[in-house]
Amino acid sequence: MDAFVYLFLAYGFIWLGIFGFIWYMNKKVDHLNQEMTLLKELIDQKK
Amino acid sequence: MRSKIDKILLIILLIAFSVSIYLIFQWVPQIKASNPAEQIAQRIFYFHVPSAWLGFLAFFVVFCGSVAYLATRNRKYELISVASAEIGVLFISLVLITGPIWAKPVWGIWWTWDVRLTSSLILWLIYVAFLMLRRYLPDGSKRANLSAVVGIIGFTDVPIVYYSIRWWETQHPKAVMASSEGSLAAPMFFAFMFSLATFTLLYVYLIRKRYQLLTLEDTLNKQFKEMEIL
Repeated sequence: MDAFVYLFLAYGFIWLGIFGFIWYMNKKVDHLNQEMTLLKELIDQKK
Repeated sequence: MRSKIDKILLIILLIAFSVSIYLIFQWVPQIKASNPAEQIAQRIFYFHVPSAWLGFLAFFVVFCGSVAYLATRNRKYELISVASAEIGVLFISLVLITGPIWAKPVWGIWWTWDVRLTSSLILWLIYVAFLMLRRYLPDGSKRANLSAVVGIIGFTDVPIVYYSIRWWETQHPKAVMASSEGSLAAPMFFAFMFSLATFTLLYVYLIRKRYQLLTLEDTLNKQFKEMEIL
């Protein structure tokens, strides 16, 4: 493989990493939202 | 619950990213250089410079957020600063990685203690220290005040990094966009501006998400405390 392909792959991997990070953040936002709903219900029950 | 704006932003980002890859690797003509590796390494420019721009923008937001926090004591500004500092560190890390990848075939060395390179490394270290400070100090006004001060003082390194190539003799290439010393060919200029716009959009998306996450974590912590009291 020549340097051009290496650079193309490196660029692709960096972007893949960024989109992976975005995917992870979206999952975490969904998870925290679920956790918050559950906690709210628990607090309401205790009150 | 993802907002509609976030979804639209992500779709635009995916399209812009695909177009920028096409522009950088297919559309832009090869530069004339005696060393073939140098011709290819030049394409790092379309990634390296927008990453640096994004880092500077992120640290400018940290600076503004820190000033706003100290003036108003509103936690919202503190969280914006933290979210922006995280993104800034991420992109300055990319600058420090892509720079040596370009330097090796062009200069023959990975790193030199040049003013531009050294000041960039110092900038990265300042904001890593900012994040470490937040990590190790307990949550409270002392942590918020200290990190706001670091956020403000740390920003003074950004103009030093930017103007270092004008103020001192450096090995780093001179600016081709904001100077009369050189200019880019039209396709290169277009690809560069497109890449810059894509990165700016990426920043907008990332800061929205990080801020959303930090706010959620903050609210959850408060709710946990409320639970403990009950």
